[in-house]
Amino acid sequence: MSISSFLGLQTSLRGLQAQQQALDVTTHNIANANTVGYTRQEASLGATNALHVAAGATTDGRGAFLGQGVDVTAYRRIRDSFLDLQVRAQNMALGDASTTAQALDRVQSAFGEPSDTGINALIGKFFTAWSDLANHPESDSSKQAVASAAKTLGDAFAALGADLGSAATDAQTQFTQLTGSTGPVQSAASKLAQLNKAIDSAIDANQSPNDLLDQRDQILDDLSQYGQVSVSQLGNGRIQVMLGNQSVVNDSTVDWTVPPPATFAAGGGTLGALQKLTTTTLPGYQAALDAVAKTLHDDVNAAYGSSFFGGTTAATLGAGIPAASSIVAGTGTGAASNDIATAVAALRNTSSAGSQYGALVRQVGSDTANAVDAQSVAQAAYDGAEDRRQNVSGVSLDEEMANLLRFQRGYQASARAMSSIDEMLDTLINRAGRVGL
Amino acid sequence: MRITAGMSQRHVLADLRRVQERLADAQSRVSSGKQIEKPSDDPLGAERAVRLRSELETNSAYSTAVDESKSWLDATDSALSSVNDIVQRARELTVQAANGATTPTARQSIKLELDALTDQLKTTLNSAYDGRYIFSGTKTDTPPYDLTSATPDAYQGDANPVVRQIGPGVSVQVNVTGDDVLSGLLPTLRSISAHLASNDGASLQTTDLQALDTGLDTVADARSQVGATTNRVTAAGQRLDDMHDVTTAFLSDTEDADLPQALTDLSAQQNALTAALHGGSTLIQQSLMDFLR
Repeated sequence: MSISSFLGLQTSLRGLQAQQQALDVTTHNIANANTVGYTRQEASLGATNALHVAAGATTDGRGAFLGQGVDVTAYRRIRDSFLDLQVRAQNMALGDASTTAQALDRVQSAFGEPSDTGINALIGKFFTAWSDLANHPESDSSKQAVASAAKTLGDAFAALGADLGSAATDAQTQFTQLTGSTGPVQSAASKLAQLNKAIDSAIDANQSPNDLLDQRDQILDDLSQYGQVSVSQLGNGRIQVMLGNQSVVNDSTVDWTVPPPATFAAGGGTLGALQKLTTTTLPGYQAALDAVAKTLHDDVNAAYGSSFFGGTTAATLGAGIPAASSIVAGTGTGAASNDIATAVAALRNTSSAGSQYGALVRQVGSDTANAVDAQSVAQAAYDGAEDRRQNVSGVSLDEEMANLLRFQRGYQASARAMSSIDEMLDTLINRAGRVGL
Repeated sequence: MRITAGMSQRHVLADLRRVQERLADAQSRVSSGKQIEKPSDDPLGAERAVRLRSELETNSAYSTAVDESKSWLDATDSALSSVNDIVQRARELTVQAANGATTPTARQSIKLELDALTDQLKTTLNSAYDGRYIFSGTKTDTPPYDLTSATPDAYQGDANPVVRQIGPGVSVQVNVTGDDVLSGLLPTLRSISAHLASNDGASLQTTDLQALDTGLDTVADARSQVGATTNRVTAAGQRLDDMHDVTTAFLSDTEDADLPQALTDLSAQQNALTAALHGGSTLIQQSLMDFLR
């Protein structure tokens, strides 16, 4: 069997086409060098199936496999899905820590400690007003000072309690917005459902939907800051996505319900942090502040011998404080009788309200400090994971420039090979057999 | 490792952000002068600062009580000093009257002066300090003696102590009641007056003088009690002042910034920022494209 004279032309053509396609991929990479979530692509080149010559290809009559050039076997997306998991885990930790840090920073500003104006200082001034009354039990202005110090203290407790309450309300509102019908989770769910469908059809049509996969991965990256994202493969490129314990999307069906069920647990991220803030952290602070108010209420009322502070919570402590004119300094009949005032003033050494409040300040401080530290750790870990992923998937312009040269030269060389064959054919067709003409 | 354009850019930005955060921290430490501006800066330190501030407030409340007690005791002592002078004068007059050579007419004029001294004693104890009658027990709104009443020698106050808290669990009685001082003296003076009127030189010489001496002892006792209490209160005040200094220093150690160190930090962070900016600008500029043609 003889071999076609034009085989070489075809081989060169394949070379030209493959180099050109590789160049196209390179320019696509360059164009997307700054696209967020873009994965660099590569045209995988492979030798074309060889032409099988059964016999007579060599002098001893044996057959051969003759190379026929190159083909693009696939457009590869260069990505490591394990690194995606790392990035998403760190993004979740970052969302958790930064949400917590932000909320707690606001809470600790509301405490305003250590200062000369916080509740601690006001408790001190309240007891000082009582010791001034013990020094001047006859004085109406001392009683006035006690009443006004008590009122100021009650107001401060109520204001701090309200600040804690509104921090919890704000966290709840933020949670509702994020999980609501116009929130990012819902919009991610509908985009994911569309992408699942599009990717499914593309794979059915035997195409590589690389850019669609990039878009989907980018949405999953974004989603991971809100909670624990887990992905299960359903085959043919379709996926099911869970956020915490709740399915967001299953193939092309949006599972996410608005609002999410009460059993929804985000498992971390911004939503997890908001859930923890509203259900545990902030109510805990509120309860601790109420406990301080109760201690103050119980101790002062016991020492005063009748009702001084009205309520046993931060919000109600200031209710029912007697008017200055009805405050009594002592049980005796004498104007200088000051045993009650002395007993109340002595609470500054014996009441645990101050140390309870100090412990609460430390608690808020260390929770905030921990969240701030966790935020910088998570930021560093996220940056590291993102670096490792960029290391694999990112577009390096230097590399693409080198590829550009490589494929350009490959294209030129294939073209040169084609010219050589053309010259050979020219000799064969136009010059052979023309001896003597 | 493949370093991509996005990576170096992100590194530069992340480094700049970190340096700028540290710079802002250093800046705010210098401008506020505080090491602990919010509890998260140092939770334990913040709790300690809260406690120390309470201690300072407590300390200053006790200091106020100490000053108050001292003024009360000083006023008491100065009144008792006058009382002592008056009783001494009464004793001199009694000695003079007891002399057998003194004529009944002279005894009459001595009686007039003695009666005036008796009133003066009560007026002295009726003196008010800061609007309060300090010799009336806890009935500080009532003068201890009503000179215009039918029973001008009757004590109008009560026997209750006036107590001031000058430290945790430390209380002092700052008052002396008019009754303590004058309950023996007034009858003695009245009886001397009567003996002067009845020209009873023998009684004047014996029982009356003895009774006056007892009265003088009572006044002296009261004064020494006041003096001892004053010493105690002064010592307590000194301790409070010392504690105030110690606590203030401790609080400052806890929450105030170490200024030289804060300033050094600040300039170090400024240098770091300059270096990071400079490094970033050279890094971002270069690529292979600059060298291919």
